[in-house]
Amino acid sequence: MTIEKKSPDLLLFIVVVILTAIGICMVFSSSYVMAYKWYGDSYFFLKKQVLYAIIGLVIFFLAASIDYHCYKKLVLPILILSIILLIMVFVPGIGRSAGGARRWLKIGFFSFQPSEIAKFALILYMAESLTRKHSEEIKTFIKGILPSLIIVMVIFLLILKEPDFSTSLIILGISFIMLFIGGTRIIQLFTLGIAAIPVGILILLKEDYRKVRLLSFLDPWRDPLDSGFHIIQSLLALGSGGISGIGLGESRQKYFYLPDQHTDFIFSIIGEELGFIGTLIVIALFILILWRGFRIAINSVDQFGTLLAAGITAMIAFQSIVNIGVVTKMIPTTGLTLPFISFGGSSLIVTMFCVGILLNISRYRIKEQGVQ
Amino acid sequence: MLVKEKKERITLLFILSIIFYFLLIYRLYNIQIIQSNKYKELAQQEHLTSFSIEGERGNIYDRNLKKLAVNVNTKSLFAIPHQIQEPHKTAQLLSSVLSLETREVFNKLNQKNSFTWIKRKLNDIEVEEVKKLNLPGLDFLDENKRYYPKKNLASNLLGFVGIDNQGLEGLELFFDKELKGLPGLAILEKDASGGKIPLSIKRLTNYQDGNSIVLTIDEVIQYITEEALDKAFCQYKAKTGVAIVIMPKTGEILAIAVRPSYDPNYFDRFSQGIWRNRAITDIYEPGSTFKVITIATALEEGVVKLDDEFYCKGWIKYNGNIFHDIHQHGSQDLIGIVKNSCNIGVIQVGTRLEEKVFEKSIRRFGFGSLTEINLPGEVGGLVRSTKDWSKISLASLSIGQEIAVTPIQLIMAISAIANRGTLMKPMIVKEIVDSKQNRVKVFKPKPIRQVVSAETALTMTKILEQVVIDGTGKGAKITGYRVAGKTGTAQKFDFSTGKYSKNKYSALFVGYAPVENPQIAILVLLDEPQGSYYGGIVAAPVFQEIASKVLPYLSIPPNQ
Repeated sequence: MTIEKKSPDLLLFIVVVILTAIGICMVFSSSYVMAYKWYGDSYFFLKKQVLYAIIGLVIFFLAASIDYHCYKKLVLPILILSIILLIMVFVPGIGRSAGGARRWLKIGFFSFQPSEIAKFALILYMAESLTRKHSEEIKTFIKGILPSLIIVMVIFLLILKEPDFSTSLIILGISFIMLFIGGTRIIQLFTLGIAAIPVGILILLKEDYRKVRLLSFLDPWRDPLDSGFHIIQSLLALGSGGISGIGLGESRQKYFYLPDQHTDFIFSIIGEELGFIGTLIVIALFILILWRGFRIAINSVDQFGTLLAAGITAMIAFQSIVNIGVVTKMIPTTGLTLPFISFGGSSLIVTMFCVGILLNISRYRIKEQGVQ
Repeated sequence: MLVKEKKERITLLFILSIIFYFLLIYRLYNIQIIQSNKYKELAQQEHLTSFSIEGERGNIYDRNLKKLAVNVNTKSLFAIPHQIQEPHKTAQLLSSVLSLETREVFNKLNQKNSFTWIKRKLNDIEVEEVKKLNLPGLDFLDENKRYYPKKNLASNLLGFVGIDNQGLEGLELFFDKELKGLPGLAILEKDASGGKIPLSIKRLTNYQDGNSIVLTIDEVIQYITEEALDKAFCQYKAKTGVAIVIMPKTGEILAIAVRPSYDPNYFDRFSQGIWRNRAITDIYEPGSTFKVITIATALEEGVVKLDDEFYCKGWIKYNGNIFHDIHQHGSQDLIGIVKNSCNIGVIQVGTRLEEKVFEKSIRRFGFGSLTEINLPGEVGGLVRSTKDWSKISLASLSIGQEIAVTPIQLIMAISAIANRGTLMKPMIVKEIVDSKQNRVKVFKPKPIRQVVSAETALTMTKILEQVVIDGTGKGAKITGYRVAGKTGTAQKFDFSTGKYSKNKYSALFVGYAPVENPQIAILVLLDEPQGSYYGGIVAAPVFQEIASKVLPYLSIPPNQ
């Protein structure tokens, strides 16, 4: 069996570039009114997002050209580092709190979200640990699931403590998916899932704001000015868009009606300005990523590559589904960015890095034992 | 090598994800296409603040298109309650600057509405003060405010409008529909913080500016009339005063002056009684001016001739009641009794008439019914039917008692004499023009009926000219013009005692000029003048002053 190098997945690359470009446009369109009002500079968020995209692109190309196998040796350091970073969030002076949550680390000029790095660290760890194990080992609970579960729980609890409910949920989701792909017994995963339900409910109801969010999800018009505000405004934005939208830059909802219009709710502004056609295109692009990502996973030359590619793809798919699900009121409101599109450096750069790895995985394939 | 199981699991995951994506697409299809209109409407409701915009109110012009009522731009203050950050503090600051009740302002700021007026039509100082406060959630909207540039001039005729530019009195009320135009809805898009989205003022429904009305009033004559009336009104400390100048041939009113008057720009500072246009809303006893009607009827009915002789011994007994006159006029002809305003003589003439005939004639002159002038609040006066008359009513009526008339009725009746017996409908509006000055409606002079023959009218004019030449109306004499007129000094009926008052009079003068071709008819009435109370002394000079200025102003050439 020989491995040959081929050109990376061009379609994936193009899709990522298009999504990032859409993101830059929409960040600008949705934020300029607000940016002018709060920062006196309409381009405030645009400039930042362009900078992040450039950094992201550089990292993307770097990751695409570095052999992904080298991460195998870095699993432990990266995991430990990300856990340390997650703990540092709680250190006064370094950790930055915003809106009652400590999700940011500020080092020098740069501030970022350690939870974004933790997502990657987790995928990497899971891919590596599941590869190392025998397929027989994986089928046992103690050796197959438990070690991963402990690491997952540490990261999960640290992020939940920030608190960042949605990211911790993503962590659980990704781990679950990776365990599933890794070959664990479905019955064990199922039991684990069932067991998680009461814990989940407990967590959900522990914080009042989550309870309120859940209730307002069930009936947002019960309290349209307060807890139901986000979701109603989101629906109004999407609905006003109609088929073809009211035109780029024409959003009305961004005039301080829709909160987080350039981050978590940017998809609603896309729907308002570009209509059903616009939202359809964005979803189609995500489906393309899903397709290419899983294809790369299936065609990967080894277990590690398969799991890494599947994990990264699942992360992007999961996050995009949850984000769009929230803004369309299919699932309760939870703060989660839309990959590539929402404003935010940590998220964009880490996602670009991950897709870079995905692209790198796509460069290797098993040489066909053909006619020759 | 990839285990087959893994491939299956990834494929399963892929299918699952695709299902989720398609669920999202279906959901988006539902929101963005199926329910789009519903959400659009909801969003619009949220984004749009609508204001009912009245079309600009029409102006009121005099007959020469001089502006009597116009609009000026003012600013009105409104609040977006949920954008107010400190309602208590805001209410306190605003109430002190705008002299409003703090509690009232606070309640407005605490509403659930997305829009509430704080104060309409602020003055410049208030606007400046509010701007200085620089409070969030407040903004101004331009509004038109009615302005009466001539202040008190013709105020009782013009009336005024309320805060929403709705006509409340006078012409403003009567022609409100014409002046107002059609309202429209101004739609203003706003952001959630209440600020206006730039360039997003939409107008969904078109409004239409109101029409303007052109009056028959002449601003100059109105001024002359008011000035002359005012002088006497002040000099004699009268209770009320009315003066009307009219063109007898067409019924066009050139001036209606009423005292007391007010400044319609600040109408709320005056009591309601002062707003009244007493020329049409109030009734007075016509007194001796009514003798014109008695004599004209008698002439028309042929019960009296110019050279009939009458004797006045200072009193007369009629049906058991004694009527007095202050003078013993002795022997007089018909001209004499009118000239001297002799009660005894006129009663002798009047009692020659049949009651029914006299009543019918009185009504034909327009008394007891509305003139249907285009003004609000007109009353018809008091004319009783013969079946309600007492034994002495015929005699009383002959000298203008037991009857109450409005000044407009009286001057219309006198104008009929001046107009060769034809009673005209009084005209106050000449035409209605739209905002582009196109004529929408033209009012034409409208004859009501021939009250007496032209011959009778001319005879009557001849008699009335003598009143001014050397009778009680000498005070109305004008050099160069032949004037006909009649004085009146009406004892006021005291409803509390049921008798005629001994010290309360109305002084009247009605007349017209020039005699050979009457161009103007004038009524002057001063109610309860102090000091002197004779119509010839109190009212006739007012007539003289008005006519002597108006005749040359109208370019009517003098005789000599």
